Amino acid sequence: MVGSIEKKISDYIDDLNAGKKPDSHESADESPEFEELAGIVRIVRCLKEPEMPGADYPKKLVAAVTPGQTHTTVSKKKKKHGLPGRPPRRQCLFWHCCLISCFPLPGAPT
Amino acid sequence: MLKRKTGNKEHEDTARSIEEICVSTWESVYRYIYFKVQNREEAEDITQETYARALSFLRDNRLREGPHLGFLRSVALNVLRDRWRRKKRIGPIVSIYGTESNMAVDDIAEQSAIRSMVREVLDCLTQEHRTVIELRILKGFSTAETAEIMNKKEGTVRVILYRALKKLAEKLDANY
Repeated sequence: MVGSIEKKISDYIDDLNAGKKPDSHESADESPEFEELAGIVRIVRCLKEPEMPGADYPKKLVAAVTPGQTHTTVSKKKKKHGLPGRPPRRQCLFWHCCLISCFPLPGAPT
Repeated sequence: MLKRKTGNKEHEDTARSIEEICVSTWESVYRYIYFKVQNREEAEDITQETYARALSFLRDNRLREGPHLGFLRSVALNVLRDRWRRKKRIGPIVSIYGTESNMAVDDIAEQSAIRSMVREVLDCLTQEHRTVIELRILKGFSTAETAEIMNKKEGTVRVILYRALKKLAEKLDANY
């Protein structure tokens, strides 16, 4: 039965071999032993040539950092202003009752 | 009208300068970052963050002429350290204002020293440990492939690899 540290370090190597960022590079609660071994793996990998990005990477990089080409998606929806329209029926009824009780119509039963 | 034209020209000049800086330096910066993180995904991401940070500083300082590579590497190091700090690995911030121009040379020398040190230590390991490290880490074979080549079970390969790395750590600690 292989212990968890052996499995974890093996998965870590698989991630690096696949060019993926290992989850442990984000996690703050790795054991010191794992951190040490992961560091050793990275040092050994220094013997290899780096895996270079695709040919379009420089273009993408320029586009991402050049002002005017990096757009944050700004919502173009116009904010709805409270335009006067027909008030809700319940509101009409309320005001109608208020008016009737304050200014009763002549001859109306009280 | 004239003001708008001048503004546009300035904007175009800035864009051109940024493009020139990126195109002429990205590979060196990427390699430098890759050396530290050892994976393409993170190296691409950190390279982009480095340029975004560095260029906003350079724009404020009117993209002054000069060797940008040393400066970019310092920014990259700070980006890396920020990330490590988030993982509670605290390291000092490198000043991006007083960047030494010979930093690029130092990095190459440092990387070369690390490589020869690793080669030396690898030579001290047993044949089995060397083989598993070579197959899994340097040649990039999977555990299953390595197990087949070494004629062992996958679990055994993982254990041998773990022990080989422990031995390597010990030797690096003792010798360097």
